[in-house]
Amino acid sequence: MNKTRKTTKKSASVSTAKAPAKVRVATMWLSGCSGCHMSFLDLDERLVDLFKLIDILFSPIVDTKVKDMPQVDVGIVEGCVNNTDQEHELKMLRDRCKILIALGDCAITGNIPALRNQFPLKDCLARAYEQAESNRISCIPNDPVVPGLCPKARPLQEVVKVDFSIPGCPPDADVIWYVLTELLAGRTPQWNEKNLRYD
Amino acid sequence: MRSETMIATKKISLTINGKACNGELGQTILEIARANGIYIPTLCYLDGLTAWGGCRMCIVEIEGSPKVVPSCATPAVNGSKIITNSPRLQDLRKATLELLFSERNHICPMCPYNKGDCGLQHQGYLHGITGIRYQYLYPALPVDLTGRYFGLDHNRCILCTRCVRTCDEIECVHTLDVANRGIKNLIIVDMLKKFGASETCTSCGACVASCPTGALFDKAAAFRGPLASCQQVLTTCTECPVGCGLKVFVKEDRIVSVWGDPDSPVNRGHLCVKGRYETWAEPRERITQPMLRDKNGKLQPTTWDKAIAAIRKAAKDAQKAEMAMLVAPRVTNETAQTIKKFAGKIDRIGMYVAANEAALCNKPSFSADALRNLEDADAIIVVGAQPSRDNGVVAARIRTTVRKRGAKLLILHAHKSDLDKYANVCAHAVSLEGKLWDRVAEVLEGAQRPVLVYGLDATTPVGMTVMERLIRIFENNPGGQKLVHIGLPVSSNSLALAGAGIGAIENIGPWLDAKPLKLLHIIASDAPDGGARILEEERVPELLEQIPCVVVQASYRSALTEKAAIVLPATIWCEKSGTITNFEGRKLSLRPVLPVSGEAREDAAILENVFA
Amino acid sequence: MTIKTIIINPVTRIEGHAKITIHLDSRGEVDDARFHVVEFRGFEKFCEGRHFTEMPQITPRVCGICPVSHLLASAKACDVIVGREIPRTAKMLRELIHMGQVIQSHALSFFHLSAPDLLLGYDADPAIRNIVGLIQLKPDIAIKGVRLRKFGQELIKSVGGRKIHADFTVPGGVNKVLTMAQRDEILRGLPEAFEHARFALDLLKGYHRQHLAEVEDFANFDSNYMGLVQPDGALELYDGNLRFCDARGGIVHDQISPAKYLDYIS
Repeated sequence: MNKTRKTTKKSASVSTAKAPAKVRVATMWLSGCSGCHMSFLDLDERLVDLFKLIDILFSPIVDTKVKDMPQVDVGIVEGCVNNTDQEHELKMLRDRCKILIALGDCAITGNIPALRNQFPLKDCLARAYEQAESNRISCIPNDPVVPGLCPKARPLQEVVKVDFSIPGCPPDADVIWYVLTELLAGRTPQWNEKNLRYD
Repeated sequence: MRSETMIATKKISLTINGKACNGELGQTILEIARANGIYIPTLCYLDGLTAWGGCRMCIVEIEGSPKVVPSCATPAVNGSKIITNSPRLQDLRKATLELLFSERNHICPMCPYNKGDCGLQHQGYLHGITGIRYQYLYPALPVDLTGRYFGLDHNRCILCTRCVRTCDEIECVHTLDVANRGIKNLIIVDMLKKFGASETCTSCGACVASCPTGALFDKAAAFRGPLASCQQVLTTCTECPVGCGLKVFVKEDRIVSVWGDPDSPVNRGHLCVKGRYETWAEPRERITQPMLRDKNGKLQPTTWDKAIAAIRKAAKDAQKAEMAMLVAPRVTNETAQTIKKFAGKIDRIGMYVAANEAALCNKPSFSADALRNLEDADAIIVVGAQPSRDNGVVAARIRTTVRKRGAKLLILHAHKSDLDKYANVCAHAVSLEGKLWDRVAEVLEGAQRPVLVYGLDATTPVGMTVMERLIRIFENNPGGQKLVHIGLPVSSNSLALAGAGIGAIENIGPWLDAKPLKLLHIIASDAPDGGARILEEERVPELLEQIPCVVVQASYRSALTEKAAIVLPATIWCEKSGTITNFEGRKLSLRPVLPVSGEAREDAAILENVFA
Repeated sequence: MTIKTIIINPVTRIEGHAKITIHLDSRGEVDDARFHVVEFRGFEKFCEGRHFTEMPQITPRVCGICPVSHLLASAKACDVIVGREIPRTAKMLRELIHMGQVIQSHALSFFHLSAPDLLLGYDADPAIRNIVGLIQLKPDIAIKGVRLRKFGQELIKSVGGRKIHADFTVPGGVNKVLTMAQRDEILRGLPEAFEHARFALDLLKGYHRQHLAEVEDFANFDSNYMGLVQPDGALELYDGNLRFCDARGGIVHDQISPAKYLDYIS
């Protein structure tokens, strides 16, 4: 991870501000609930410090469109791959980033969205769009712009190579902070029973 | 479940991780490691069960061997050098865990055991697993929610078979087993039934306690709090005279779950459905305030002062000969002492027991070491008792002795029960003619450690005859083996209460009718039925109607409390302190687990308030 | 007939996944405009067969921004299943955690998602017209939003045990107490939270005054409104009845039991 950046040793601490190049970051939420992004935002005041070291160039919380997805250093992805758009965008990001981080259980294991893998997809769609108690007009969405659903919801690593994973549903903001600051300092974060959680 | 008889053992010593460790010939590597404070991860191993060695987490390396061996199932060899933790072992264990995670749907976020109560999760954390190298299979697996108190979610099962072994070796009914092969392995109930339709499951819940993951889970306990974060309070179950030790998990003044106390010499951590679930997981209407009838005759909440005043007024209007007290056979020994203190103020005090139980209490005798004698027996004769229905842990002990240790089982003069299928002789209705008794004598021939378990129905004329015949068989026996008698009541403290001078009533109707009453004080205490049982006895309901002031001291509303003029709220088992004496004669302590609910008071305190 | 389609992909700064397609005819006029929800997970189906006590843990995973709302709705369903009226303290704790939810998600919606447009301007460079840019360029203002959201999240954590996806409810009640110390901590944070909320309101009102014409015109259309109210019509966040209003605030239906919602909405 630290082989490509020559300035790592200098930026070992958050406060040295001799303006090394900001780390370029992209984030994506695929088939998740965005809770992992919210946990990221739970960094609160630490975001001020963080945004002195990184720029977020592509993210659901900024305005860049898919077609303009830029080259970045780090891609952080929450959610599993559930439809063809997500698969395509994930692969785009993998091409455009050096390090890909799977953020949260959905991205790592499939988690709750992957529960639908136990049922035929058509049954899931029917239950939601035709048999729901609130359906007056039954119609499964079929506009060409709406992406097709993949046969199974899959975790990121079954679609692209993942460099680092942060488990949790969602991972705690302190854990996200630990991982990001370690990576920014060129170190590999260590996991143990004190900072690991799967729930 | 080994008997604690001393066997001469040969000492051995081995080196584990460079540390010299002593042990005994016959012990496994895991046992010796644990005895020496060395940690080896396990999943399918559970103390008290036959080791299986299938999960491959406890693998260790032995110098001189290219293989890794499961330490839980490998006997230790004197002089061997063991490594319990190496890069190779780490990687193999990680691969095992990753395979487990990939095989089924282990979704922590929705599981009630996700905050430190799961063995699989714990191993994942210990091994720093943040992702797996295998593809997730996402099989479609069923969830069986038909059991009343617990469910089985196959998505979370790691097929460790702890539940299968527990059900086979501890409760010993063998409800659970494994079906199919390989990836299609599935834990099954009976022959592919669901828990709700099982013909063998006793709902003892031992399987749930043995399950390392959230596959088997308690319904009432779900999300009440992580067990890992709870206090554990030890107390005693008062649902039957076995007096099992309970370990109650408590958090913020609420019960999270009830398990057996593994250190109790009585039940060693095992429980039956009554102790594990009926104590707390059944919805009942709790009485939290004293109640008086209003002018429309409806029971209304009131204060203690008003309720006591009403009782005193009724007592003032009555002669001593017109007052009586009925006592539930489950009150504590200390309550009995308080009752006796005030005995002089009323005409008569009697303990209401189960049908035929009074005879057992007339000359109450305790059966010292009964459970150990049962375990060591080579022939068990059950007369007039229904342990499966009334004393679940005794039934489990009988089953293990018969099924696992080869003891003979004879069931005479008893109702149908699951024990019948293990019996060498089973006669629900006993004929006193020859053929049956020839068979009995034949089966009992050569028995060295026979045990006779007799229950309530053994005190009937037929029951007594059966007992006499059995005793004669052993008296005439040239070997002269002593027949151990175990008296098995159904009420939790009836023997001790009878021994303390509170006589058991044979028939409540005539007892009530003996002299006309103006005041009857019924201590139902925390009986789950609120004392309603007495209404089933002949003439009792109409006799109660004739008594102007019926006071019921109870924890739960029932048909009986509905007949009371005055209701006084009593504490329940988890609020009580005191002792009961189990059928072995052990004095067992009740410890308060929760603060007292509402205005409830201890039985003895109520009596002091009323009679002092 | 559509000659040209403008596709906005994705719609950013929303809580979810969406695309917008605007269909132009031969004169360049809008022929049709569509909002597409491009996510489907199947909760309705895959929850079938699970124990009902797990539902308050599954449904919050619909959304990590408003998980408490899902948790409480599910908890209320669990209460009905077991036929339990929850104790008064539990009800108040559930109300309190929902207040935390409303505070943090409204702070997020206003400060993190919308405020960049108001503070940096609609025509600002998209590269900076977002919360990251706001934090980098106007940290003093951005920090207000961050801290208001933090107050709500900390409130949720104090009451429920965790900021996002707390396991807090059981059928018939809740599984955590609130200590006096925690309560006092919440009270201590209130003055600052009030200040930030007032700041947000002032900001919005000031913006409205300066851009009245745009506010009147942009994305403004008549619609009905629905919310939960108390018996006296005051705002209710946890447990109340439904009130439906028209665009001018006139009450159309009032004090409707939520159990009957399908009679009014489809």
